[in-house]
Amino acid sequence: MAEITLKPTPCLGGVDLRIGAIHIQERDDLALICVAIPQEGEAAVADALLSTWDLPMPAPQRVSTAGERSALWGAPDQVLLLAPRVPERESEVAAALDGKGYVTDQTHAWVILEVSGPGVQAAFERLVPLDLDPDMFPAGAAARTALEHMAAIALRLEAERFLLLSASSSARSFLHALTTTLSWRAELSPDG
Amino acid sequence: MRVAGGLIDRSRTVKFQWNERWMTGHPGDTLASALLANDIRLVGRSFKYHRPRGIFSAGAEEPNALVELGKGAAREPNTRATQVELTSGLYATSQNHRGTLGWDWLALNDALAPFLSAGFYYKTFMWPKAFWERIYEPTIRAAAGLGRLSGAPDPDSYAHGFLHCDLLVIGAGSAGLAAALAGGRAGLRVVLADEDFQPGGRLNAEQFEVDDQPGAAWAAETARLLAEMPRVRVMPRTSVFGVYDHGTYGALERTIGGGPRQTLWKIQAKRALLAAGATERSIAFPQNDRPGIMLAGAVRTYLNRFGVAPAGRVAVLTNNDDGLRTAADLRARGIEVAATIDTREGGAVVATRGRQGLREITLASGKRVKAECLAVSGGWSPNVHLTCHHRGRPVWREDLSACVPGGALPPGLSVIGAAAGTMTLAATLREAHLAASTVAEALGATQGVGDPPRASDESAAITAFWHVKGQGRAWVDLQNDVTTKDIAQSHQEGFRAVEHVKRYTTLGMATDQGKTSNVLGLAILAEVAGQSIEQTGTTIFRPPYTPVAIGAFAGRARGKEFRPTRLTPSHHWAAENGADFVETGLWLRAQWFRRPGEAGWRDSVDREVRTVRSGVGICDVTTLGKIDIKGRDAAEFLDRVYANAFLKLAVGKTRYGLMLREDGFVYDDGTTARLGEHHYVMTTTTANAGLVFQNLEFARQCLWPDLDVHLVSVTDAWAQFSVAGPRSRALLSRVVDARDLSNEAFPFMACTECTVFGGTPARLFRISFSGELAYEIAVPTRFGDSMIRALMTAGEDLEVAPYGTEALGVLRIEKGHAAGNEINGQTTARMLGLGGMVSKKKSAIGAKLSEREEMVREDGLSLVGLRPVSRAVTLTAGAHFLAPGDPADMAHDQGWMTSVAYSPELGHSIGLGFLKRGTERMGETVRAYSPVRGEDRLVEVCSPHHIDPEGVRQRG
Amino acid sequence: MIINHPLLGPRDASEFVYKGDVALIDRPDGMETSLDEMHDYLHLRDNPAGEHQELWYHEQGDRSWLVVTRNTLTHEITNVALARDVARARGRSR
Repeated sequence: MAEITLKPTPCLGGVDLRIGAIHIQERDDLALICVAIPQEGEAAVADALLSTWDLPMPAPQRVSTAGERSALWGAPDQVLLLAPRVPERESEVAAALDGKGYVTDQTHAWVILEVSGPGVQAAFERLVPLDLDPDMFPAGAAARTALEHMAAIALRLEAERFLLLSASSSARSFLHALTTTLSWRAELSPDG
Repeated sequence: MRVAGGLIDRSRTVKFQWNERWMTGHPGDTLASALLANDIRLVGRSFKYHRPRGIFSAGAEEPNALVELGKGAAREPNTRATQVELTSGLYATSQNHRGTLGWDWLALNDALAPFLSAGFYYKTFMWPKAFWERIYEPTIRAAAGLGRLSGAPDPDSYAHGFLHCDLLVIGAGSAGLAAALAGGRAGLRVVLADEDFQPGGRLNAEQFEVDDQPGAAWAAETARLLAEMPRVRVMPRTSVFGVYDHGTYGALERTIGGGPRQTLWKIQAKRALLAAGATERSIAFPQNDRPGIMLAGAVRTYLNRFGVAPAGRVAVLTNNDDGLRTAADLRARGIEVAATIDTREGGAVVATRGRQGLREITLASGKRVKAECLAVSGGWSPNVHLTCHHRGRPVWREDLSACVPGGALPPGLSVIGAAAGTMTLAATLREAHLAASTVAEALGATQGVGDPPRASDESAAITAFWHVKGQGRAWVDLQNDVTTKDIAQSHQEGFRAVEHVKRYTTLGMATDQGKTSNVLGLAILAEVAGQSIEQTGTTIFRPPYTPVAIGAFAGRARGKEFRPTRLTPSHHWAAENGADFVETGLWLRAQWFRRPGEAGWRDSVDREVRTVRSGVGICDVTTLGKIDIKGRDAAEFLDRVYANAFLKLAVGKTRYGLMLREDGFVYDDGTTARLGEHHYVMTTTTANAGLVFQNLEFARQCLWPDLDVHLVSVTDAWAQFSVAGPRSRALLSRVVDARDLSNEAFPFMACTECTVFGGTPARLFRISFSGELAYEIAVPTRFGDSMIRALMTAGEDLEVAPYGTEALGVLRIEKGHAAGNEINGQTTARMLGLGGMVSKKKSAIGAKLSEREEMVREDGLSLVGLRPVSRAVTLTAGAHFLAPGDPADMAHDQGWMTSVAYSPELGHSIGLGFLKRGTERMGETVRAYSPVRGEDRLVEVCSPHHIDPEGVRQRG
Repeated sequence: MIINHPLLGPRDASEFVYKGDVALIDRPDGMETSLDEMHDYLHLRDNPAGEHQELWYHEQGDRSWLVVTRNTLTHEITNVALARDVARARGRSR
């Protein structure tokens, strides 16, 4: 069956839309690799990330970034690496860690949306229970939370630019919750 | 009628409808002020006696002016006209009357009032007993209740939201504004919430001055200043209705002109200041419920804020200086004050006249005075509602004749202004400023708070006066029609504790929760009991402060959005190919695939089953929980969470895993494949995926914290397909790159990581739920849609076809595999015939308690197959087994049918079930008796493996 | 209700799942355990009017199990710790 090759389909068909002043865009160009840190193995993982990519180990609720790669704090023994999607991403990470951490490709478990524009933070007040005040949740902060009963990761890139991640299977419900909320925001405050 | 002045915008007119009549008002009006401006006095009927009632107050405390807003599905009952912001096109109707508002035939109740006093229902409808269900209850139900629900789904939208702040200020009157201003200047993150659409509270209703300007102007200016502060959020139209744990406050925001109609905010505040003000109360005197009898403060509100006089001639009855200001303000606007009656000087009103609106009052002297409005002030009660939400109990203050916050306040909450019993303006402003400064200091704010606003203190002297004794009923609770006599009667009949009086008389119940009547009721009770108010005690309040629509609590979680929907990777392909979908938990799964010419679902399912038994079928099984388990101790971990042995599973092999609960009952099952030295992938049932993960995390973190094992949920990461049937190997050989799939090279229960279609990564498992030669193959989720299409193309000449969950169910029943119907939380491994799997050598979860006597008894239930003696008969699940000839009762119950299906291969109905000593009874005939369906069948006990009991096919 | 996560700070209760008494950590491992001991572990709980240590799971968060010390009379939470640390302190290991 050499004539057939499989093609990936973006979870939301590569959605790209504007609601009022806010822009929603599916980021189907990113890979998400989970690195579980073995018992007593944090220093070795930190060392591998730093020496290979100059990527510091992130603090809880924070993201560290070096070039095109970012590391999100996931759990006390888990780091999530975010980088441009290429087929060999998982094996590249596995090679860099060389057995110092357990590597699992989570790219396909998540849908990633970039949401940006004036009023994003205010709109998110009707979505997530996090305190998104810039003092509490500055650019470079990330948190796992719930959004209308769906698991989510919120990552702040800039004051009014976020990445939102949620489970790929419920991506449509996730997008619907987001667009509904942003429509309300647009009605209440057309300029953001 | 309109008079000069007020805060309304007279340059614009707003049209609205009241009981189908078009009227006009102005922006800034409430429905109540607009009705009064249009000389509407009668606005509703009381709850029990259907007495004519008019607007009584100017705020949240309104007991009478409850109206229905909107029409059709959008109709909203029990809305307080005093809080409804007048908007263009507003449609309002009166409620609680049969017939018209003016002629309500249920007003007959009023004539029967002597018989309808407190406790009437409890005493009367006891006899004859048979009448209760057929006559009394339906009649009472039809008459009871306030307002009508539309009965249609609510078309409006509701949202939830989350706010975080340093300081929440509840109420934007003088105290709230001063506190928010100080907090804002200090740099705190402040939320200022007020139920009104216009900040200012009583400042908008009075003629006070603050900082040498009119109070209302100062309020507007302060609100503007606050709105400009970036860390301050002013939220008008927002009622803080409840105080919850750890500084969480519930607030309901009403939105006008776009967005969700209401937003339920969860406000997380480090500190909160309650500046909820006070509510005026009435005095009980004979016939004190006529339209036109109003609270004195409300009369000032209509006059000063809305430019409305409730009538041309107004009399004033008061026991305090505050009430006297009503007379002064009326005179200043040129309204005739027909009488000023001060109870401190022996004055009283002993009778009133005017059926549908006040016409005349009779004074203690016997003198009759013509007046269309009587403004009454019995003093002010601090709004302590929210201070009670953590069981704080208000305490009586004799000097104020009022209850003030008492007991333990919710942590982080302080009370300021009139809500705390500080009844004068200058004192309130100073107190508010100080309280906010204290909060700022405690939270480490460094910026200055500025000076407190200046004002002078008005006179608020009061001498308690509650009750004019005389002929005729004197109302205490206008909403529930509770009179002084009802309270006396309750006491006389032994319901003396304040909580009992409340329930026996309904004092303080329903939508207003006794905001104007509670303290008056207490005072009357104290008087009747011959004790002090302090001794009498008080009831306390629960959330919500004002009613909150259920829709607001539901938020967006309703209808199809009640919960998220999860779609399988092949969903769109399935929809294109005739699938009917079924909800399994959050997932939508293809139930069967309808083909042209198929008459009903059974045709489709039978065909799909035959396809798997004779050719090759494909089913999307992505919904099964999938957990990657990694770590040096992963094998040891699995060996402890599964009841059967896992230590020796080789790399490249898969094993069935049986999971018990700690109490020894079967919890879940699935397969676990070993893909690498330290890498396993576990599957769980669809239903338990989340819970199993949670339990595994518990075992990993709490039971064996030093095991090196890591869990990652990969359910959504892989699109997984079952490829089942005798031709499955032929199909997969074309799909999987460069791998020998022969039985020798890749036998039953083998697993591997591989690639498909020239390089896409995949996982391949040789496992079978159908009993046929079968595989499961997984590709990364985004390739799932492409994969199902590619499999169909690749297998076209093999006549590959998809199958849905219904065929999946038939296949597993034919094969005798247990599923949800069998594993229902009451099932032991032994019942499933898996008792031998539970290792006695290790202390896996549930192993110990699975040894309990009752769970290992020889005569226990065991899983068997069933087939009807008369093959044409259809079996039904839920039927109970009885020995032929035994009576059909619980004592002779021998088990039950768990699952049934029509087996296309066997050509008749088959079943699985649990039967006492089932395994010893092969070939026996028993009754399958279902009294619910009226069925009684003879069935033959057989092996649960209806098909291929030796398992030759799956190993072939 | 707010749980002050030891690593993440205050988080809304909607992110958490409740399990029960912290005593669930003290599982009697080993098949030599008597049935009675196992029954006690599984079914017997104190019901204190006052301080109570209980297990919560940060399901919509970092998936940590936490031990929350909560006063059942006032709902005041006086301490929150990672359950893994508590388990180790209570003598659990491998």
